[in-house]
Amino acid sequence: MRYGLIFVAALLVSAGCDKPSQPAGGGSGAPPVTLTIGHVGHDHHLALYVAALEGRRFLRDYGLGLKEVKARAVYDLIDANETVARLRLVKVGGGSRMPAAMSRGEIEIGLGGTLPVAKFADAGQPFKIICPLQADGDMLVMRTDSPARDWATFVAAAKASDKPLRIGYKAPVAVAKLIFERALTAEGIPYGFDQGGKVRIVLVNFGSEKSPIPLMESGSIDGFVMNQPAVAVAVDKGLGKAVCELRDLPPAGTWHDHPCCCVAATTETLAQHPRAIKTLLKVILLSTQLIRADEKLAIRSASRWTKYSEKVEAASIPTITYVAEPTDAWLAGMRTWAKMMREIKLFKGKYAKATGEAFVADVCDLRLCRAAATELRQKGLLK
Amino acid sequence: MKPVRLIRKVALGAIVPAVVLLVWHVAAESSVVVPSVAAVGDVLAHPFREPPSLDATSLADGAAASVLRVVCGFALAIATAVPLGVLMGRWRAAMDALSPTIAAAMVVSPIAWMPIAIIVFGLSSPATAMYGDDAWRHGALDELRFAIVAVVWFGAFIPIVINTASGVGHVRHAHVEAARVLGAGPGQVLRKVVLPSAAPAIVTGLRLGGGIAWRVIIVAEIFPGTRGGLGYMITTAHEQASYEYAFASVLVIGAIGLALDGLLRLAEARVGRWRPRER
Amino acid sequence: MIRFENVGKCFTTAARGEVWALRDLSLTCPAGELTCVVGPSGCGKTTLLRMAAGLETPTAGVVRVDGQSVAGPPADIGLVSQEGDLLPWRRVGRNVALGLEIRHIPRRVRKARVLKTLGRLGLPENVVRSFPHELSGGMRQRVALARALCPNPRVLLMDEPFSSVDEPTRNRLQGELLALWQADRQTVLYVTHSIEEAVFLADRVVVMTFGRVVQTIDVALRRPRDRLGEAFVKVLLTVRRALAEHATATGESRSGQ
Repeated sequence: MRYGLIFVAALLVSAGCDKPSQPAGGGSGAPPVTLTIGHVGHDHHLALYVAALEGRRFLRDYGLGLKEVKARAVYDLIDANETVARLRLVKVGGGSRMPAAMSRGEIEIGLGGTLPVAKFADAGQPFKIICPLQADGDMLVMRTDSPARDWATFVAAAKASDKPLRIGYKAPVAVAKLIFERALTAEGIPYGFDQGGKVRIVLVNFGSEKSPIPLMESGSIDGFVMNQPAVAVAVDKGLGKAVCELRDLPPAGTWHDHPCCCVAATTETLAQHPRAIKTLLKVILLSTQLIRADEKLAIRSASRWTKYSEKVEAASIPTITYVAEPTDAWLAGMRTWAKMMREIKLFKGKYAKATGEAFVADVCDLRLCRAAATELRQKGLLK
Repeated sequence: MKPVRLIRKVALGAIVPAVVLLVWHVAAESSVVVPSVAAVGDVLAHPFREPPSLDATSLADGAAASVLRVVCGFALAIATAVPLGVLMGRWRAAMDALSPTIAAAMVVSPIAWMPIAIIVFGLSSPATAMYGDDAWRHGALDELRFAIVAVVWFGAFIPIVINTASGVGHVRHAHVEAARVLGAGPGQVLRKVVLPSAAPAIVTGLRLGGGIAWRVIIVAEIFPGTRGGLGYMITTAHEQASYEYAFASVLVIGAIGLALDGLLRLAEARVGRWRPRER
Repeated sequence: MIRFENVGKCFTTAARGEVWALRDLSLTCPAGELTCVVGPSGCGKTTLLRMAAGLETPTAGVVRVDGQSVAGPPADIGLVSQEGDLLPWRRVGRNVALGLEIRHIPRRVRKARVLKTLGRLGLPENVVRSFPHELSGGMRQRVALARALCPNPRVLLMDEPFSSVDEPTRNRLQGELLALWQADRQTVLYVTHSIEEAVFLADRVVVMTFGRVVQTIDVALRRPRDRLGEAFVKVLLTVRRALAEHATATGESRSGQ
């Protein structure tokens, strides 16, 4: 009986220890709407983080931006002194986790890979890609003692080695893995997921480990294909060397500026909060421009937010092409994705037989993005 | 205990950890992944420092979040499992109705329920339930994600209900009758005979449930959407290759688990005080 | 007083089907008297006692305690079982106080009455801190008796309470019981398989076999009784003879035969 009372008392005390945190500075009353944004936490989504960290500068230079309410968690989206929305940032993880969270209603807007979003849309989820975030940023990393120095020497090493090379990948639908597979096919190198037959390359899914580094150290894999910043971390730890960027893989030119991460939202969110989303996209556009112009700032901000060292970020960021507008190259890249997903039969729903153009037209809704860019240009804020 | 015996006990108990420490030190020299003993020691020495190389709160905050979640899940489990166990122990019908389901649930690892818990509860917590969009202001309450607490609850619930039902079922009729003849009503029989008699079994159930709850929380926190907690720290440290935080978290987990078990063992001993020592 | 009116009790077991432990039994235990029921194992005497305690319900007939028919344990009775059945997690003091606790008597009053009862039973004061398992068999039964007596019951039911202690202790306990009873004069129903004990204690000995009362023998000797005395032995033999006569006859234990 006594212990029961102690238990209850402890619970009440700990609940009382819940200190409500006060907003930083005053606001203009209660914000009109709260939108939850899912993100992954590494430098592919740097546009959001730079905006979050440089809020004061944005407001000063552009008249719009993010104002910190609770660091890394809650920001107010301000446009011309008006709070358009309150943004809640939730680290949901990469890959399929972001669209999964959106399908469960946990987030309204998500930053993440184009292909996972497309897969969920293919299955019937009302998702739209509303803005690009970046392209490229994937690399092939091999052990430091590997003879591979670039793609050509890698191919030679794969064909010549007596034992199949074990190359790790993050997830079945990961961009890096898909590109790599097509490149191997283009080079005529047989590969597989286990040791059988005459495969020269064995693909190993280390997804459950979440990081290829321990496998590299133990020698379980000879290399891996993955997005930044994991590549930079592995190189930084001395466990591997970057052999080549995946954008350069054959078929030649196919993978240049391949779209990686994007901003996605549900159709419902788009319909209900167009102004907030357009303002957010303006912020993303400006942030991306800033990243491209000031690499030092980008590296510093990335390190501040992600807590990776500046050395790692300095190695990672230059390999990433930050683009927030749907350029021709980006659109071409999206069409390439559609073709590839069709060929390897990863689209089983409404995009199963869609042409590249139809796919892009359906899965993307770029009107707000284009409108945002136009308005910024009118004000001379965007080049 | 006599001083000499105590010293001897501590010394013997320290042998394995010392060997482990030595092996660890040697391994760290030649490895990138294994952090040096010094690095881990440094992390442990500054539990309130926000990690410079990890996207996570301090070790102390992480420990507090995990402990809070376990305490809530555990308390809920006790509050639900003990009454249900008493019911099952006293009434055949309740036992027959519930024990097949419980037996089936017993073999499923609580972690297997995590995806379902996420589907059902998402990111909701007492904070989101009470404050909606303002939930972020109430950090501690928001850490109590329902999905995680539910999984902890489930893990602790099973051994507690089973042990309680068993303990209550084994209450000696003679004791119950002695109380009834002295005029005890059903409530008094429950309070004065059934519960004290079943108490050792119940507390054993608590000890088992507590252990499972602590083991479960770490794995549950690996699931996406969680922020904070020692499980989250381990996963993030792994992702960001800051392995000294992973190691430090593991050590903290072990220490807290040991403390929790020790506390429950103490309770077990106290409650079973009246039992004659086995000869 | 306790009255059994045409009482029958049938148990159904998986192994033996229907078993009639008691069959059309009528018996009166007069108020203020000590009645002993004696008989071989399985004769139904324990069932009889449990029905008086309200722990079993009769299949046929009625049991009355002080005029009221029994349905569940009646008020103001005490029971001492063969093993004592003290609550092992409670110290002696709290065991003895159990009846008073149930009646919501305040703590200070309880404490005083417990000590008084223990004194009457010749137990030292410091025994209140002991746990039952720390006591000898004889002391445990004394404590059990104290627990039953503490709430001042009007009826005392005893089921072979001293059969698990050695003979010298048993004789001493019998003497102490008599002393207490002669002071309080409860209605006592005492079940035993020892003929000698029955004759030593009872105002009346009721002989039972196979679920029936076969003979009732009044014992008019003055107390304290001399176990070796001629009159005592004579009554002993009477009882023994009654038992022997009816024990040889095979009783019906299956219904419908």
